[in-house]
Amino acid sequence: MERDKPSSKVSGGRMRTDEELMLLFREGSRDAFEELFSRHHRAVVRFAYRMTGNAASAEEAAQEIFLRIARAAGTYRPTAKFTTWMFTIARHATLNFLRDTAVEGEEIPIASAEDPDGDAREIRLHAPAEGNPETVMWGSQLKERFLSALQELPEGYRAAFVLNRGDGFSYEETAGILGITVQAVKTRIFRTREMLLRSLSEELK
Amino acid sequence: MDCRDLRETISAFVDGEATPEESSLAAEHLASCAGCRTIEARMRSLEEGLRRVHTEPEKGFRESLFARLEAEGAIPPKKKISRRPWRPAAVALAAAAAIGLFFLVSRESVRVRTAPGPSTARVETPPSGRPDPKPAGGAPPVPMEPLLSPGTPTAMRDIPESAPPVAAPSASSPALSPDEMEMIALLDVLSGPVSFEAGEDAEALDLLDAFGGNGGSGKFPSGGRSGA
Ligand SMILES: [Zn+2]
Repeated sequence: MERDKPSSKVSGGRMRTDEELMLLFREGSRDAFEELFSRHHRAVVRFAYRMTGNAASAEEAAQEIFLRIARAAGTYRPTAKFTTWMFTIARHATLNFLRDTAVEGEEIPIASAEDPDGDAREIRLHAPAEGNPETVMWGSQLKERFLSALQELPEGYRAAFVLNRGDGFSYEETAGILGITVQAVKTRIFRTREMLLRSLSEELK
Repeated sequence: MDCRDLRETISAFVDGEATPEESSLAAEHLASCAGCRTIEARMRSLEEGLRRVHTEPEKGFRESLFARLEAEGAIPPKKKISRRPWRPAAVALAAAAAIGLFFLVSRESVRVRTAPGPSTARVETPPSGRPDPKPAGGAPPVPMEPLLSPGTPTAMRDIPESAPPVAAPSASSPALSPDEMEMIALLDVLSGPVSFEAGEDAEALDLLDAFGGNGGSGKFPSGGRSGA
Protein backbone atom coordinates (compact mmCIF):
# COMPACT_ATOMS: atom_id res chain seq x y z
CA MET A 1 0.00 0.00 0.00
CA GLU A 2 2.81 2.39 0.78
CA ARG A 3 4.07 4.44 -2.07
CA ASP A 4 7.30 6.20 -2.54
CA LYS A 5 6.12 9.74 -2.13
CA PRO A 6 6.25 11.60 1.16
CA SER A 7 3.06 12.65 2.77
CA SER A 8 0.71 15.33 1.68
CA LYS A 9 -1.33 16.96 4.34
CA VAL A 10 -4.32 14.89 3.40
CA SER A 11 -2.70 11.55 3.25
CA GLY A 12 -1.30 10.99 6.67
CA GLY A 13 1.55 9.00 5.26
CA ARG A 14 1.43 8.64 1.54
CA MET A 15 0.46 10.50 -1.56
CA ARG A 16 -3.19 10.08 -2.33
CA THR A 17 -4.29 9.58 -5.88
CA ASP A 18 -6.68 12.08 -7.35
CA GLU A 19 -9.35 9.41 -7.31
CA GLU A 20 -8.86 8.75 -3.61
CA LEU A 21 -8.97 12.46 -2.90
CA MET A 22 -12.22 12.80 -4.79
CA LEU A 23 -13.76 10.00 -2.74
CA LEU A 24 -12.47 11.60 0.45
CA PHE A 25 -14.05 14.85 -0.64
CA ARG A 26 -17.33 13.07 -1.11
CA GLU A 27 -16.98 11.85 2.45
CA GLY A 28 -16.57 15.37 3.70
CA SER A 29 -12.90 16.21 3.51
CA ARG A 30 -12.34 19.80 2.59
CA ASP A 31 -8.61 19.16 2.68
CA ALA A 32 -9.05 16.64 -0.08
CA PHE A 33 -10.75 19.22 -2.28
CA GLU A 34 -8.07 21.78 -1.51
CA GLU A 35 -5.41 19.29 -2.49
CA LEU A 36 -7.17 18.54 -5.76
CA PHE A 37 -7.44 22.25 -6.39
CA SER A 38 -3.75 22.77 -5.69
CA ARG A 39 -2.78 19.98 -8.03
CA HIS A 40 -4.95 20.95 -10.94
CA HIS A 41 -5.96 24.58 -10.93
CA ARG A 42 -3.07 25.72 -13.08
CA ALA A 43 -3.86 23.16 -15.73
CA VAL A 44 -7.53 24.08 -15.60
CA VAL A 45 -6.83 27.79 -15.97
CA ARG A 46 -4.42 27.13 -18.82
CA PHE A 47 -6.92 24.91 -20.59
CA ALA A 48 -9.62 27.54 -20.18
CA TYR A 49 -7.23 30.19 -21.48
CA ARG A 50 -6.50 28.22 -24.60
CA MET A 51 -10.17 27.50 -25.12
CA THR A 52 -11.55 30.98 -24.47
CA GLY A 53 -8.70 33.11 -25.71
CA ASN A 54 -8.26 35.54 -22.86
CA ALA A 55 -7.07 35.49 -19.31
CA ALA A 56 -10.09 37.04 -17.62
CA SER A 57 -12.45 34.64 -19.35
CA ALA A 58 -10.15 31.80 -18.43
CA GLU A 59 -10.39 32.61 -14.73
CA GLU A 60 -14.12 32.99 -14.88
CA ALA A 61 -14.51 29.70 -16.71
CA ALA A 62 -12.04 27.99 -14.37
CA GLN A 63 -14.08 29.08 -11.36
CA GLU A 64 -17.15 27.61 -12.97
CA ILE A 65 -15.23 24.40 -13.61
CA PHE A 66 -14.30 23.97 -9.96
CA LEU A 67 -17.80 24.85 -8.85
CA ARG A 68 -19.09 22.12 -11.13
CA ILE A 69 -16.53 19.66 -9.83
CA ALA A 70 -17.60 20.33 -6.26
CA ARG A 71 -21.28 20.11 -7.11
CA ALA A 72 -20.84 16.94 -9.09
CA ALA A 73 -18.80 15.15 -6.46
CA GLY A 74 -21.72 12.84 -5.78
CA THR A 75 -21.79 11.69 -9.38
CA TYR A 76 -18.09 10.93 -9.57
CA ARG A 77 -17.31 7.28 -10.01
CA PRO A 78 -13.72 6.20 -9.74
CA THR A 79 -14.12 4.07 -12.85
CA ALA A 80 -12.79 6.97 -14.86
CA LYS A 81 -9.50 8.69 -14.31
CA PHE A 82 -10.13 11.81 -12.30
CA THR A 83 -8.40 14.09 -14.79
CA THR A 84 -10.46 12.66 -17.64
CA TRP A 85 -13.61 13.38 -15.69
CA MET A 86 -12.36 16.82 -14.71
CA PHE A 87 -11.49 17.81 -18.27
CA THR A 88 -14.82 16.55 -19.52
CA ILE A 89 -16.42 18.99 -17.11
CA ALA A 90 -13.91 21.63 -18.10
CA ARG A 91 -14.69 21.30 -21.78
CA HIS A 92 -18.44 21.53 -21.16
CA ALA A 93 -17.94 24.56 -18.97
CA THR A 94 -15.76 26.40 -21.46
CA LEU A 95 -18.14 25.57 -24.28
CA ASN A 96 -21.03 26.98 -22.28
CA PHE A 97 -18.95 29.99 -21.48
CA LEU A 98 -18.26 30.60 -25.15
CA ARG A 99 -21.93 30.23 -25.98
CA ASP A 100 -22.96 32.55 -23.19
CA THR A 101 -20.52 35.23 -24.19
CA ALA A 102 -21.05 34.89 -27.90
CA VAL A 103 -22.57 37.85 -29.64
CA GLU A 104 -26.26 37.36 -30.22
CA GLY A 105 -26.83 35.16 -33.22
CA GLU A 106 -23.24 34.11 -33.47
CA GLU A 107 -22.69 30.40 -33.64
CA ILE A 108 -19.90 28.61 -31.89
CA PRO A 109 -18.70 26.16 -34.49
CA ILE A 110 -17.95 22.90 -32.78
CA ALA A 111 -16.88 20.61 -35.53
CA SER A 112 -18.22 22.00 -38.73
CA ALA A 113 -14.87 22.11 -40.42
CA GLU A 114 -14.52 18.41 -40.96
CA ASP A 115 -13.23 19.23 -44.38
CA PRO A 116 -12.94 22.98 -44.15
CA ASP A 117 -11.53 23.70 -47.52
CA GLY A 118 -10.77 20.39 -48.99
CA ASP A 119 -7.64 19.80 -50.90
CA ALA A 120 -7.97 23.14 -52.61
CA ARG A 121 -6.25 24.87 -49.72
CA GLU A 122 -3.62 22.28 -49.05
CA ILE A 123 -0.76 23.82 -47.20
CA ARG A 124 1.92 24.77 -49.61
CA LEU A 125 5.27 24.70 -47.98
CA HIS A 126 8.54 24.87 -49.73
CA ALA A 127 11.52 23.04 -48.47
CA PRO A 128 13.72 25.19 -46.27
CA ALA A 129 16.64 26.70 -48.10
CA GLU A 130 19.29 25.53 -45.71
CA GLY A 131 18.19 21.99 -45.56
CA ASN A 132 17.63 21.30 -41.86
CA PRO A 133 13.92 20.67 -41.55
CA GLU A 134 14.18 19.96 -37.83
CA THR A 135 14.54 23.64 -37.11
CA VAL A 136 11.53 25.85 -37.58
CA MET A 137 11.84 29.39 -36.40
CA TRP A 138 8.91 31.37 -35.12
CA GLY A 139 8.57 35.08 -35.01
CA SER A 140 8.33 37.09 -31.85
CA GLN A 141 4.57 37.49 -31.95
CA LEU A 142 4.03 33.77 -31.79
CA LYS A 143 2.07 33.70 -28.54
CA GLU A 144 -0.48 36.29 -29.59
CA ARG A 145 -0.77 34.98 -33.10
CA PHE A 146 -1.08 31.41 -31.91
CA LEU A 147 -3.73 32.30 -29.36
CA SER A 148 -5.83 34.04 -31.95
CA ALA A 149 -5.26 31.28 -34.51
CA LEU A 150 -6.56 28.82 -31.93
CA GLN A 151 -9.72 30.87 -31.50
CA GLU A 152 -10.42 30.70 -35.22
CA LEU A 153 -10.67 26.93 -35.07
CA PRO A 154 -13.95 25.13 -34.57
CA GLU A 155 -14.30 24.54 -30.85
CA GLY A 156 -14.21 20.75 -31.15
CA TYR A 157 -10.97 20.89 -33.11
CA ARG A 158 -9.38 23.29 -30.68
CA ALA A 159 -10.43 21.06 -27.78
CA ALA A 160 -8.99 17.93 -29.39
CA PHE A 161 -5.70 19.64 -30.15
CA VAL A 162 -5.37 21.31 -26.76
CA LEU A 163 -6.27 18.18 -24.81
CA ASN A 164 -3.87 15.99 -26.73
CA ARG A 165 -0.96 18.33 -27.40
CA GLY A 166 -1.36 20.59 -24.40
CA ASP A 167 -2.66 18.42 -21.61
CA GLY A 168 -1.11 15.13 -22.55
CA PHE A 169 -4.23 13.06 -23.07
CA SER A 170 -3.86 10.22 -25.52
CA TYR A 171 -6.08 10.09 -28.60
CA GLU A 172 -8.19 7.53 -26.77
CA GLU A 173 -8.55 9.66 -23.67
CA THR A 174 -9.27 12.72 -25.77
CA ALA A 175 -11.94 10.75 -27.60
CA GLY A 176 -13.49 9.83 -24.27
CA ILE A 177 -13.51 13.43 -23.08
CA LEU A 178 -15.04 14.75 -26.27
CA GLY A 179 -17.39 11.82 -26.84
CA ILE A 180 -16.07 11.12 -30.32
CA THR A 181 -14.12 8.30 -31.93
CA VAL A 182 -10.37 7.93 -31.86
CA GLN A 183 -10.35 8.27 -35.65
CA ALA A 184 -12.19 11.58 -35.30
CA VAL A 185 -9.58 12.79 -32.84
CA LYS A 186 -6.85 11.83 -35.27
CA THR A 187 -8.57 13.70 -38.07
CA ARG A 188 -9.29 16.77 -35.96
CA ILE A 189 -5.73 17.05 -34.81
CA PHE A 190 -4.42 16.74 -38.33
CA ARG A 191 -6.90 19.30 -39.65
CA THR A 192 -6.07 21.59 -36.77
CA ARG A 193 -2.41 21.44 -37.67
CA GLU A 194 -3.23 22.30 -41.25
CA MET A 195 -5.38 25.25 -40.23
CA LEU A 196 -2.85 26.51 -37.70
CA LEU A 197 0.03 26.29 -40.14
CA ARG A 198 -2.04 28.10 -42.72
CA SER A 199 -2.97 30.97 -40.44
CA LEU A 200 0.49 31.16 -38.92
CA SER A 201 2.37 30.99 -42.20
CA GLU A 202 3.46 34.59 -41.91
CA GLU A 203 4.81 33.93 -38.48
CA LEU A 204 7.14 31.28 -39.81
CA LYS A 205 10.56 32.68 -40.49
CA MET B 1 -0.15 6.52 -52.08
CA ASP B 2 0.67 10.14 -52.53
CA CYS B 3 1.89 12.63 -49.98
CA ARG B 4 -1.49 14.11 -49.30
CA ASP B 5 -2.91 10.77 -48.30
CA LEU B 6 -0.09 10.23 -45.87
CA ARG B 7 -0.26 13.52 -44.04
CA GLU B 8 -2.85 12.43 -41.49
CA THR B 9 -0.77 9.35 -40.77
CA ILE B 10 2.30 11.52 -40.39
CA SER B 11 0.36 13.69 -37.97
CA ALA B 12 -0.50 10.64 -35.86
CA PHE B 13 3.10 9.49 -36.20
CA VAL B 14 4.26 12.82 -34.78
CA ASP B 15 1.96 12.23 -31.81
CA GLY B 16 3.17 8.69 -31.25
CA GLU B 17 -0.33 7.47 -32.04
CA ALA B 18 0.30 5.65 -35.30
CA THR B 19 0.09 1.88 -35.40
CA PRO B 20 3.36 0.03 -35.99
CA GLU B 21 2.41 -0.48 -39.62
CA GLU B 22 1.52 3.18 -40.07
CA SER B 23 4.70 4.20 -38.34
CA SER B 24 6.95 2.26 -40.65
CA LEU B 25 4.98 3.50 -43.62
CA ALA B 26 5.40 7.08 -42.43
CA ALA B 27 9.07 6.68 -41.56
CA GLU B 28 9.80 5.09 -44.89
CA HIS B 29 8.08 7.88 -46.77
CA LEU B 30 9.66 10.63 -44.72
CA ALA B 31 13.10 9.21 -45.44
CA SER B 32 12.57 9.76 -49.12
CA CYS B 33 10.35 12.88 -49.28
CA ALA B 34 11.70 16.30 -48.38
CA GLY B 35 8.31 17.94 -48.72
CA CYS B 36 6.74 15.71 -46.10
CA ARG B 37 9.76 16.12 -43.85
CA THR B 38 9.14 19.84 -43.95
CA ILE B 39 5.51 19.34 -43.09
CA GLU B 40 6.46 17.02 -40.29
CA ALA B 41 8.90 19.56 -38.86
CA ARG B 42 6.28 22.28 -38.98
CA MET B 43 3.73 20.05 -37.34
CA ARG B 44 6.18 19.46 -34.53
CA SER B 45 6.98 23.13 -34.31
CA LEU B 46 3.37 23.92 -33.43
CA GLU B 47 4.11 22.47 -30.01
CA GLU B 48 6.21 25.51 -29.28
CA GLY B 49 3.33 27.83 -30.10
CA LEU B 50 0.93 25.96 -27.87
CA ARG B 51 3.48 25.85 -25.08
CA ARG B 52 3.71 29.63 -25.13
CA VAL B 53 -0.03 30.04 -24.77
CA HIS B 54 -0.45 29.89 -21.04
CA THR B 55 -1.45 32.15 -18.19
CA GLU B 56 -1.24 32.06 -14.44
CA PRO B 57 -4.27 32.65 -12.26
CA GLU B 58 -4.44 36.04 -10.56
CA LYS B 59 -3.73 36.31 -6.88
CA GLY B 60 -7.31 36.43 -5.71
CA PHE B 61 -8.39 33.46 -7.76
CA ARG B 62 -8.27 30.89 -5.03
CA GLU B 63 -9.86 33.10 -2.39
CA SER B 64 -12.78 34.15 -4.52
CA LEU B 65 -13.40 30.62 -5.72
CA PHE B 66 -13.42 29.18 -2.20
CA ALA B 67 -15.68 31.96 -1.01
CA ARG B 68 -18.15 31.02 -3.73
CA LEU B 69 -17.86 27.33 -2.91
CA GLU B 70 -18.54 28.00 0.75
CA ALA B 71 -21.38 30.38 0.09
CA GLU B 72 -23.00 27.76 -2.04
CA GLY B 73 -22.40 25.02 0.48
CA ALA B 74 -20.47 23.01 -2.08
CA ILE B 75 -17.57 22.40 0.27
CA PRO B 76 -17.46 22.08 4.05
CA PRO B 77 -16.40 25.14 5.99
CA LYS B 78 -12.83 25.68 7.01
CA LYS B 79 -13.34 24.87 10.69
CA LYS B 80 -12.24 21.55 12.00
CA ILE B 81 -15.05 21.15 14.46
CA SER B 82 -16.88 18.24 13.09
CA ARG B 83 -15.39 14.98 12.06
CA ARG B 84 -18.68 13.66 10.95
CA PRO B 85 -18.79 12.27 7.47
CA TRP B 86 -20.00 14.89 5.11
CA ARG B 87 -21.35 14.71 1.64
CA PRO B 88 -21.80 17.66 -0.59
CA ALA B 89 -24.56 19.81 0.75
CA ALA B 90 -27.38 17.35 0.36
CA VAL B 91 -26.65 15.34 3.44
CA ALA B 92 -26.22 18.37 5.61
CA LEU B 93 -29.42 19.83 4.30
CA ALA B 94 -31.25 16.60 4.88
CA ALA B 95 -29.89 16.45 8.39
CA ALA B 96 -30.89 20.02 8.98
CA ALA B 97 -34.37 19.29 7.76
CA ALA B 98 -34.71 16.27 9.97
CA ILE B 99 -33.42 18.11 12.99
CA GLY B 100 -35.50 21.14 12.27
CA LEU B 101 -38.57 19.00 12.12
CA PHE B 102 -37.55 17.23 15.25
CA PHE B 103 -37.27 20.41 17.22
CA LEU B 104 -40.45 21.78 15.79
CA VAL B 105 -42.30 18.65 16.79
CA SER B 106 -40.83 18.21 20.23
CA ARG B 107 -39.98 21.76 21.09
CA GLU B 108 -41.44 21.64 24.57
CA SER B 109 -39.21 18.83 25.65
CA VAL B 110 -35.97 19.99 24.21
CA ARG B 111 -33.87 22.86 25.30
CA VAL B 112 -32.62 24.61 22.23
CA ARG B 113 -29.49 26.56 22.57
CA THR B 114 -30.29 29.80 20.82
CA ALA B 115 -27.27 31.81 21.71
CA PRO B 116 -25.98 33.04 18.41
CA GLY B 117 -22.41 33.34 19.58
CA PRO B 118 -20.62 30.04 19.71
CA SER B 119 -22.76 28.30 17.24
CA THR B 120 -20.85 25.60 15.49
CA ALA B 121 -21.04 23.75 12.30
CA ARG B 122 -21.75 20.58 14.13
CA VAL B 123 -25.07 19.03 13.41
CA GLU B 124 -26.32 16.96 16.30
CA THR B 125 -28.49 14.01 15.73
CA PRO B 126 -31.51 13.68 17.96
CA PRO B 127 -30.90 11.75 21.14
CA SER B 128 -31.66 8.14 20.67
CA GLY B 129 -34.73 6.77 22.31
CA ARG B 130 -36.93 9.67 21.39
CA PRO B 131 -39.66 9.06 18.89
CA ASP B 132 -38.46 9.99 15.48
CA PRO B 133 -40.44 12.72 13.80
CA LYS B 134 -39.62 11.24 10.45
CA PRO B 135 -39.51 7.62 9.50
CA ALA B 136 -36.23 8.30 7.78
CA GLY B 137 -34.61 9.02 11.11
CA GLY B 138 -31.49 11.05 11.58
CA ALA B 139 -29.55 11.80 8.49
CA PRO B 140 -30.01 9.42 5.63
CA PRO B 141 -27.33 9.79 3.04
CA VAL B 142 -28.85 11.57 0.17
CA PRO B 143 -27.21 11.11 -3.20
CA MET B 144 -26.44 14.08 -5.36
CA GLU B 145 -28.80 13.06 -8.09
CA PRO B 146 -31.70 15.23 -6.96
CA LEU B 147 -29.51 18.27 -7.27
CA LEU B 148 -28.95 17.41 -10.86
CA SER B 149 -32.56 16.98 -11.64
CA PRO B 150 -33.51 18.66 -14.86
CA GLY B 151 -36.41 20.02 -12.87
CA THR B 152 -34.11 22.56 -11.37
CA PRO B 153 -35.68 25.72 -12.62
CA THR B 154 -32.51 27.41 -13.61
CA ALA B 155 -30.76 28.17 -16.80
CA MET B 156 -32.21 25.73 -19.24
CA ARG B 157 -30.31 27.75 -21.74
CA ASP B 158 -28.17 25.00 -23.03
CA ILE B 159 -29.11 22.39 -25.43
CA PRO B 160 -26.67 19.58 -24.86
CA GLU B 161 -24.25 19.24 -27.71
CA SER B 162 -25.53 16.93 -30.32
CA ALA B 163 -23.24 14.60 -32.13
CA PRO B 164 -20.74 16.53 -34.13
CA PRO B 165 -21.06 15.87 -37.81
CA VAL B 166 -17.45 14.95 -38.21
CA ALA B 167 -17.61 11.68 -36.40
CA ALA B 168 -19.98 9.11 -35.15
CA PRO B 169 -20.25 9.48 -31.42
CA SER B 170 -18.57 6.61 -29.74
CA ALA B 171 -20.74 4.97 -27.16
CA SER B 172 -17.81 2.91 -26.08
CA SER B 173 -15.35 5.60 -25.20
CA PRO B 174 -12.89 4.14 -22.79
CA ALA B 175 -12.73 6.83 -20.21
CA LEU B 176 -16.27 7.80 -19.34
CA SER B 177 -19.38 5.76 -19.59
CA PRO B 178 -22.35 7.20 -21.48
CA ASP B 179 -24.04 7.63 -18.11
CA GLU B 180 -21.18 9.71 -16.88
CA MET B 181 -21.12 11.80 -20.02
CA GLU B 182 -24.82 12.39 -19.61
CA MET B 183 -24.37 13.33 -16.00
CA ILE B 184 -21.76 15.87 -16.92
CA ALA B 185 -23.96 17.21 -19.67
CA LEU B 186 -26.71 17.61 -17.10
CA LEU B 187 -24.38 19.77 -15.08
CA ASP B 188 -24.88 22.34 -17.75
CA VAL B 189 -28.36 23.01 -16.50
CA LEU B 190 -26.96 24.04 -13.17
CA SER B 191 -25.82 27.57 -13.04
CA GLY B 192 -24.67 29.45 -10.07
CA PRO B 193 -25.42 29.15 -6.41
CA VAL B 194 -29.15 28.93 -6.84
CA SER B 195 -28.89 25.23 -7.43
CA PHE B 196 -29.10 24.42 -3.77
CA GLU B 197 -31.90 26.83 -3.13
CA ALA B 198 -34.64 25.21 -5.07
CA GLY B 199 -37.47 23.12 -3.82
CA GLU B 200 -36.86 20.91 -0.85
CA ASP B 201 -33.54 22.47 -0.07
CA ALA B 202 -35.14 25.81 0.44
CA GLU B 203 -37.65 24.19 2.74
CA ALA B 204 -34.85 22.58 4.66
CA LEU B 205 -33.22 25.94 5.11
CA ASP B 206 -36.44 27.50 6.24
CA LEU B 207 -36.80 24.79 8.82
CA LEU B 208 -33.31 25.38 9.94
CA ASP B 209 -34.05 29.04 10.40
CA ALA B 210 -37.19 28.25 12.28
CA PHE B 211 -35.30 26.18 14.72
CA GLY B 212 -32.11 28.15 15.00
CA GLY B 213 -33.79 31.51 15.00
CA ASN B 214 -30.73 33.29 13.69
CA GLY B 215 -29.82 31.45 10.56
CA GLY B 216 -26.56 33.26 10.87
CA SER B 217 -23.11 32.39 9.79
CA GLY B 218 -21.30 29.50 11.28
CA LYS B 219 -23.79 26.89 10.23
CA PHE B 220 -22.53 25.11 7.21
CA PRO B 221 -25.81 24.61 5.38
CA SER B 222 -27.15 28.07 6.04
CA GLY B 223 -24.29 29.63 4.20
CA GLY B 224 -26.08 28.72 1.01
CA ARG B 225 -28.61 31.43 1.48
CA SER B 226 -26.10 34.15 1.05
CA GLY B 227 -25.58 33.07 -2.49
CA ALA B 228 -29.14 33.83 -3.49
ZN1 LIG C 1 5.70 13.16 -49.27
